[in-house]
Amino acid sequence: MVAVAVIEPDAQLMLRVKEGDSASFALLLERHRAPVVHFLYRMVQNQAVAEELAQEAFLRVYRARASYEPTAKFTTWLFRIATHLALNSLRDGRFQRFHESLDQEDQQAASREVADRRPTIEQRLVDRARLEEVRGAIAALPAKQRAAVLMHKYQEMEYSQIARVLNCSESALKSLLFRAYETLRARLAHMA
Amino acid sequence: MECPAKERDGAAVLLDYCTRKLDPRSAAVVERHVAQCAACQDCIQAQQAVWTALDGWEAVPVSPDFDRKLYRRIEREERPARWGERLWPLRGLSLRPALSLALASVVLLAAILIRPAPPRPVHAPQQAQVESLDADRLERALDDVEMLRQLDAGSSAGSQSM
Repeated sequence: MVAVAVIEPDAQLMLRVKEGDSASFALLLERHRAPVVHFLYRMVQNQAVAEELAQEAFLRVYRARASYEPTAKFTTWLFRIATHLALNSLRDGRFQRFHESLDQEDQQAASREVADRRPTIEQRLVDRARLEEVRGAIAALPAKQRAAVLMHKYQEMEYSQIARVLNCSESALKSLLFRAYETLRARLAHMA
Repeated sequence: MECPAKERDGAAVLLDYCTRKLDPRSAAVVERHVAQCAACQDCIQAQQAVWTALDGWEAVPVSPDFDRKLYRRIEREERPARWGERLWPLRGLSLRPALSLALASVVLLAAILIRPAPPRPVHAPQQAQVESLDADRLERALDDVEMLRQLDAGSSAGSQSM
């Protein structure tokens, strides 16, 4: 009996991109644009830089289409590229030039609101202080721990997939997450 | 069960328990332990607080012009190739015939330019011709002299007989 390897839908789309089908690339972009941008945003904590890095990540995917082989999950490959770009950006300190304050974020959020369900000023100040604390706690983590926590918490990736993205063993990843959550518990436990 | 809060691999079990990723059987084992372990209770409570705090951090929506910017970058990257295509419209053809033709032309031109000068005409035939011409003239001159002598002899014989 011949075993047939099942190729995941994203990998199938990428194989079509390899054959020159630009519509498949548009589908992949539609599917993964938001998760990648959100991951990068939480990594570098700046929307403009996050989007720039996300575009670079998708550009690299497109560039590599000719040599693409579905050896791993598409998202593993995509997040490996995105993580690599984020770690480089953090290391170079490029994000500091674009540092974004919470005020800017509030303005953007306010402009998106449709109904007048805004909380009171006091509530907004409390929320803002809490958010600042969370952002600060995440930003204080070493970059690799930060990436691991963000993929684990927000992308809900399995340990094995995160380990592949970060190019480490599963046990090394568990140690990484253990240290990261230990630090976060120490900083954020009072927010319960 | 060993206390998961005190070992690294165990912490992953507590983490999975908090995120409800454990299978029901493993979850039941953890619950039995946690019920009598203050350290694990504290750990789970703190972890859930972290989880709730992280939930409050919503990402900003992606800009509406994200795709447009990306496709513009892709187009910009592909442009040099198009320019290359314009500069070399015969890229599909093999260079070998053209090179062979060019090489043959160079060899032909060199052959024309470096061709040895035609051999200079040898003077000997001319000399022979001159010599042959001179011999004829000499022969004719001798005949003329002989004829004049005969005429002279005839005229002198005629005068004597008169």
